[in-house]
Amino acid sequence: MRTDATPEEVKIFFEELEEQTQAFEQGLLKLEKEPENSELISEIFRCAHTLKGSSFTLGYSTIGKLTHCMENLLDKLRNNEMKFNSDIASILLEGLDMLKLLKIHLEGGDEKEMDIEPFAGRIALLCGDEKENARPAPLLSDEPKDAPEENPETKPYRISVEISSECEEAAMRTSQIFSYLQDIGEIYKSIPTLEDVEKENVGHYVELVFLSEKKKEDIDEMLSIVPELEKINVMALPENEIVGQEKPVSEAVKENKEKEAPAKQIKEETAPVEKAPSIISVAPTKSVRIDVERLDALMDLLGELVIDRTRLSQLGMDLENKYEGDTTVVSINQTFEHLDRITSEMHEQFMKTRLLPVEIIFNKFPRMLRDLSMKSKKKVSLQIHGAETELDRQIIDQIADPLTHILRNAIDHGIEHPSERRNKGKQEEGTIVLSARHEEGHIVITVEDDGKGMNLDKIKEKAIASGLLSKNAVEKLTDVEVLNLVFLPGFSTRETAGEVSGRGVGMDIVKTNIEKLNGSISVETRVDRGTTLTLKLPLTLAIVKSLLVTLCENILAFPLFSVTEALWIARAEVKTVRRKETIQLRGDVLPLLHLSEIFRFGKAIKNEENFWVVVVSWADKKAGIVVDSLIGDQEIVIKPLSPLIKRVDGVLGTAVLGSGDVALIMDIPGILKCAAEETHAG
Amino acid sequence: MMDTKEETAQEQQITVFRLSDEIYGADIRKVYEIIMLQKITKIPRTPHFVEGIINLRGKIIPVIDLRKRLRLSCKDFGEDTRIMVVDIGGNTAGAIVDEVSEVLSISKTSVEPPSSLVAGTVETEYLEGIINQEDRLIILLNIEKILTESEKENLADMDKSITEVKDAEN
Repeated sequence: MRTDATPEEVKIFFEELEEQTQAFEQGLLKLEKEPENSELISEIFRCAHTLKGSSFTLGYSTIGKLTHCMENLLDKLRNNEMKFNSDIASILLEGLDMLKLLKIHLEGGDEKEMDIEPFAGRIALLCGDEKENARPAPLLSDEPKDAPEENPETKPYRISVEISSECEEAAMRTSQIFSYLQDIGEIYKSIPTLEDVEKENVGHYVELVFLSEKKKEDIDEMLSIVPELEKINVMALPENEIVGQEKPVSEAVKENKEKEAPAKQIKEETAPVEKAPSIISVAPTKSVRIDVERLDALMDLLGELVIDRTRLSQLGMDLENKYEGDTTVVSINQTFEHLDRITSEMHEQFMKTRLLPVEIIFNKFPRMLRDLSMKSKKKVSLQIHGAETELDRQIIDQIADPLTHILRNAIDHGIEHPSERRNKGKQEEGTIVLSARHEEGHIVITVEDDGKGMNLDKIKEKAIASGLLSKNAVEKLTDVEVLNLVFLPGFSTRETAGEVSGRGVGMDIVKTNIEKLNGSISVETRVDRGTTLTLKLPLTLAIVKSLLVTLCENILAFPLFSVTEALWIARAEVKTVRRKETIQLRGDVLPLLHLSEIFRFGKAIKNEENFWVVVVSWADKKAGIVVDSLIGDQEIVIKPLSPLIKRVDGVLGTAVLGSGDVALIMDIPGILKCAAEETHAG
Repeated sequence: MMDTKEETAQEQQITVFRLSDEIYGADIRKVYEIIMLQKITKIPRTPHFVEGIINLRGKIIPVIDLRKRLRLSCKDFGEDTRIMVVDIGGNTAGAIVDEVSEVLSISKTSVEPPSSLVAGTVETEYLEGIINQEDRLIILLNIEKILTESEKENLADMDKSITEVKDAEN
């Protein structure tokens, strides 16, 4: 599939394809529940229509043909020539799937052609049309109704024509040439241009780059109809000479002929970078497309601004101390205060631009669930709460896969077959509730099903069977610990693998991915009642409220959402258990960690009577980290370690404090991991 | 300043600095600035020649000890010790040197290709050449190669750094 569009236009097209496909799918699923809703039918029709237009304009003929078939069907629905039923739903969904597949191929630069003729045939049959209507609408050309015999590929040609010197109406002849060619193809470039011809600014020589499905002989024949032409030269061109910036001349020609072509309008109003939103988008909200890179660049700059303003505030205070009462200093400080407020607001607004509603990923699930429930012959309904909850876009990207896996698990392993459910006295249709909500600095996403729950004994058996743990070790585990065994690599309690889940590689990768984002995942279950998976994710990756401490001349920052408390401990309280220092914390044993050893900062001298311990928690693990002193809590901007330094376990990043000092931001799960390694090594 | 393009092609400006007892040079186009030594925040679990990170006007950049990197003898930081802020493939980093002496204009012809005899402790990948001046030899380094090689050595040096630090502690 060749396209004669700029990279920018292609990018916009793909974005639009994504948007429209999603809107189409959602509308369709809604329509299944409300088959009489004509509003929905119109909406979906518009999606197909828009896509058809833009794909043909850019030369993606396969997508164009595909969407045209679907548009045809939808048109009939719209005009009440047909009534919506599940067959129609299924075939349209099939078409959507093919669209998605095509998109993936194209984005990957894969030129593989997809044969949509069988599909087109089936739709036509459903519509009750003759098969030949699978041809595209006359947007490009007035092709004869018979499909060309072989190879309907559009080919590029270079045509040069010399008009006889005796011809007095060269402009008219040229216009005639254009016109005839238009009927069998598309003029991509021409000298003279259409404007020139209108102004009668022509010579006797015409050169064109022309696209057509016709063969050379046919073009020759067509041109020879035009009188007063001396030389006609039609030459097939190698494909890659075409791609360029110029608008096909045929577009402008059609404008004059006033042919219907909404897609053309898209092109007209498309400046190289932007796109007219009102024509394309179905969504009612006003929005502007911005390159994520630009946003990121702005974010970086803003981050620097935040750092400087903190610095300025401090300097301002220093000045005040030095020059008490000086009016200039007072003014300066007032201005700094104002700057402070503005910067804070700016920063807040900017952070919001990075936020997207989770709806974006939640959207895919109704469809996925529908397919899965049909395949597995189970009845499941999906409830979604809090889809408008917003999350940093980076995080959203990363949790799409884990969530998908969890949902698949819920259907595969959780929800029972209708008969089984009946026997248990449950409703035949199982329910999965997917919800998202804000909670004190992070987002909580839960997936709750009312299925059969997880069987602790089975888990224990599997763990022993796969050699993960010995029988003895398993006996000693608490219920919570047994549940968490499912997060270990290689674990699965299914005898035969389900569609995607059940191969034993799922949950541990899910856990790893979530933890990479500084999130946590935990599971709760009740036999025959159901299972709930809870994901906790930080609201944003860029700024974090932290507790600053000192340790061996370093300043460390602990993200507050993982700090539960800070304790002032007396040496006498420390008990050594199996060569590890611990203290009692409200009945639990809390291990003490010495970062100076884990990080090899150098030996810490720990002979004081009392010292500070920062209690951190992660998922269900807790530890106490020994520090030298507490500084206080501060909002700091996370700066990643330089790309020249490989990722360091235990260090999330760095931050420049208002004082100019550099703090190391602690990565709690990383520290806990390092500590565990030490235990095994020591 | 260069008069003609041709001259620029023949000449090169290098920053001349000292590491331990030897004189080195680096292409000035790769050197952003020279700054005084300042508080370096250590980062755990990095190769031994990575000293840590510093705050350069709000930007956090890693600092390596060039003497350790090239396995030269390390004197304590002195009055003349400086940090050369350099550009490595788009990333900024700092390199600790014992002294920065001057900026020199040299003609490209005066740079002799390294021969294994002169190479000594410096691995030939980082070595661009030798400049033979009347009173001294300047070893011309390719700064880019010095620091990016560190990625590959990361794993190898990890273990080395652990033992080295342990030794230093005892």
